[in-house]
Amino acid sequence: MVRIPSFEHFGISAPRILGLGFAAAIGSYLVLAASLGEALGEATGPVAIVVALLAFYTVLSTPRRVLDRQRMSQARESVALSASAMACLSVTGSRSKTLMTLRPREQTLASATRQCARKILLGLPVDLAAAESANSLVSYSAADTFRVLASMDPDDFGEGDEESRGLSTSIELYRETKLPMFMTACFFSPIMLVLYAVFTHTYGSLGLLELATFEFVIVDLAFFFCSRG
Amino acid sequence: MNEELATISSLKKVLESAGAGDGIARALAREIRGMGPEGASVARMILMGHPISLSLGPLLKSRSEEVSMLSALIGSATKSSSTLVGKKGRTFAAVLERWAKMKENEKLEMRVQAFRALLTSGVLGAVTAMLASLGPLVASLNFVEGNPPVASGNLLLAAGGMTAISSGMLGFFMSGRRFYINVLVALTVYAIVSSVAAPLASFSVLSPWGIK
Repeated sequence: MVRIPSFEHFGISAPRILGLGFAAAIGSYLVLAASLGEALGEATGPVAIVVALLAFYTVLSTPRRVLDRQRMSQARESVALSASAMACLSVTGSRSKTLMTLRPREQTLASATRQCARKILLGLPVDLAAAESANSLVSYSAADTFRVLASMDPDDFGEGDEESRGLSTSIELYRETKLPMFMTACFFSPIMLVLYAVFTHTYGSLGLLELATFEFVIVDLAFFFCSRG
Repeated sequence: MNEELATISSLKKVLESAGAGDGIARALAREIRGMGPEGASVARMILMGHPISLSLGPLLKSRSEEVSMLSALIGSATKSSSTLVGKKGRTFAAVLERWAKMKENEKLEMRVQAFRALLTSGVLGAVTAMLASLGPLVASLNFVEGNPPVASGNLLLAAGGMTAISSGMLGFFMSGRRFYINVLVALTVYAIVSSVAAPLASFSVLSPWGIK
């Protein structure tokens, strides 16, 4: 059985999201086939299948994108969390007090800290509670902050921004790759469709409207794939 | 220096003062007084005797994530030791300063990209206008199958619509809400080029089979 981390993290069952993906694919196929009419002739079927596959991929990849976004915000917040925990641990010398004093602003990190504090108040050992909370986090720097806190050594806290630096570089590379792709899609799709209309002598209002709709679908899909997060 | 970097730099000085044993409230009132309306508000609240965590409210709600994070750290000093937070927070402040500088560089890059998108929109308008005006003329050069259908004004309208969609999306991708500038540029160039190419498009080709 293939394990997909993003599905596991959000507790999504694979058959359910596959069903949702199929529904979205069939829906987009039917809508596109109906809206394209006869504008693309015999190519309508294959084009609608490609769009349906893209819709299927879009639905299936949504948890991964949400996870990536969470990871980025957790990694950024972990730097502040680490600095704050380091100072607090040096002063109080108490892991439990430090964990209860921490107030991260990032939602998932705040929820993990609250859970950890609750477990400590219920009597769970600090290292166990911190380790459990660390396991629920996506960002390894944020998880490391909890683990270091449990190990009781304030000197182990690093700068903590290695992960966010790596993520920023990857976003930069994504942008460098996807920007020319999106520009190409936006530049060539109207040109190609106008040429298609000219050489197939599609001059009727309905045919041209169908081609414009098709162009909107292409550019919209390109926008979705090229904009990250 | 932009306002965000200046505020981070002032907050860094606050941490340095706190690390050297100075009071956080005193350092805040001294350093961030001149940092725009948010800084003035924080300084005023401190001078009026409000607690630090409450006084830092305007900075905590700041649009800049880095300023807000650094303010949260300074605010947390009231729960631990201001000297220790000041000492340990220096590295953190340096990291945040680096992030703010990176964001500033990114903004400059985005400005260049937005300009590129404007140029692309303009070129797109010109090319589609040429194709929509002269394309039917070229497509009518069919000497074998008789007379092809004549292009109507619908093609110019549809090509303009397609150009508007593409340039709008490109503008939205690059400059967000200011996408209408791309649409305006593309449609203006489109209108100019199609009006220039209109006389050429009205030229009719005689079929060689028709010449006696």
